[in-house]
Amino acid sequence: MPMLQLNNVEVRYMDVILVLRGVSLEVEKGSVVALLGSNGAGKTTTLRAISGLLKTQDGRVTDGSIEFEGKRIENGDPESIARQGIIQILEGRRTLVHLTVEENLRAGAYIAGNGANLKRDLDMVYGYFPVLKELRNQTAGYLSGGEQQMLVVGRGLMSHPKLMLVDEASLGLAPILVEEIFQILKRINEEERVSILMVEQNARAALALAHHGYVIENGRIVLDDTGENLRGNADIREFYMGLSAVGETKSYRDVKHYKRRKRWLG
Amino acid sequence: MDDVLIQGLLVGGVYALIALGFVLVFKSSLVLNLAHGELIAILSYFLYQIIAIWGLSDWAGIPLVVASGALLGLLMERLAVRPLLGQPFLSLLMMTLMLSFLLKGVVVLVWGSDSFVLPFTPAGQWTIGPFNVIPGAAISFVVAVAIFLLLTALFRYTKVGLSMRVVAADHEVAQSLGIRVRRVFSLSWAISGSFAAVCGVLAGMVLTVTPVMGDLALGKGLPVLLLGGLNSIPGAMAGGLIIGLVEALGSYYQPGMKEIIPWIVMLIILLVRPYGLFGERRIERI
Repeated sequence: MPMLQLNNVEVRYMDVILVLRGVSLEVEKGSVVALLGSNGAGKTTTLRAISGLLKTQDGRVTDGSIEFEGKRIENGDPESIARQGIIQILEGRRTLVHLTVEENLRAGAYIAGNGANLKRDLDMVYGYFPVLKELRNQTAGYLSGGEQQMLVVGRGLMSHPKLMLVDEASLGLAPILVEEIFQILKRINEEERVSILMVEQNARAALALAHHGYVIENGRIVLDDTGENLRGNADIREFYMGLSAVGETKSYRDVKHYKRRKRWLG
Repeated sequence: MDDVLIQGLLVGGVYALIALGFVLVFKSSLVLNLAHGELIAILSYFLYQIIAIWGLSDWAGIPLVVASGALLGLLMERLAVRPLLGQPFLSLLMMTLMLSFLLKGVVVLVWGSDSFVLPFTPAGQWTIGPFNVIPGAAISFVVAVAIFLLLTALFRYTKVGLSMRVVAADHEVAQSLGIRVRRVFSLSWAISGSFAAVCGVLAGMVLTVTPVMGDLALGKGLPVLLLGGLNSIPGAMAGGLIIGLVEALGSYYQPGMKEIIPWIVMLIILLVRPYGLFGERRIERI
């Protein structure tokens, strides 16, 4: 049985605005799953529905079910969902800007407890992100974008999650940093046995490590396949990676946008 | 002259403690609790009720008042503030202002316009080294410093303190890390309420307990708070001592300046440092 299972999940904001129209997806234990889609497709809403943080934005799961390790968690309290082992890394590098790097990490250890483990967990995070160790007493607000992204991932790791929901870790970062962070996510998945569900616009980076991928458009899953197959899928290559069939970057001169809009069957 | 300075410094300790009650709530829930002054007043009256009218001993009365302070803080948060969370800052400010009038009304309703000095206030003067001090002020100062140290340690080293800071910084991040935001609110209002009780006891020893005591407490607490920075614990301490000192100096040279001087100092400091002496500057990324 999969670790996380969404069945026909429907989400409305303020009881009126229908954002997810029956999303079903699964995350197997120990796997990395990518959820791809364009702006406004419902990616972040899907993650918030899982973590319970929908509530702070006046949203609710109005139909379908979300099961984590066999227990129904839809519309649960975000705090108690976090305690069950689902940690969401929020979009936009939400560091606690006035706290130091180490205080940020200690805040992440809130669930896991403190004492002897705290030291060991800090060392574990510093092992993945050596740059954070050098900056441990700096105020987090003055870190660079890449360092802040590392900090929020490290903070999420401090609570020993079973499943990490990573929202747009690549947003606004240089390609080399994106690659570095995704490499570390891969190591975290393999070494700490943390399952990862990541939401991405950067399909290339996400599919490089995803075992399985879903494409969401207009609040519906329109395509799902293994990471391997999606990497080779012509539509994905064209619409999400900007490559033509032969694998070259294509020129806009050759494209007639309006004719080439993809109609998904979903 | 030396005695005046020392006296000012000691009274400054009480002012600092008043301001700490504001800071604690502001730090975790971003609410400026204007009812804090009246909370102090009503707890002072309640202590008087317990000791002078019900006839309980001082040592039973003080813990009882501190516990009622915590309970009152908790109730205020639960009934008046929590339903408004997420509303604009101004709505919450109006709510606490309303609460302050309500508490004042209760004081007048129950105790009329009686004024009194708490019965256990030690009389006379103490001589500490070369200085003569008023006992009530000296005791208050020691208590204020002790509470300041406790609070600093709480925020810097404990998990509860850290969770309060996280909640203040970002509710959503706090929730995403499994921190129970509502519980943290209740806790900080309860602690703030018990501070108000301690202030009530101390202020009752230094000042006379009158129906305007709440305004007085607010009038001292607010300049200290703005001077030190709304969310800074060391700021509240330093601000309290500074205001206590300049007030004492002012009234030494020109009696009648006492009530004006704190506001003048606050005005000047805010013009130079709008976030107070120790307040957090907002970190903007460009």
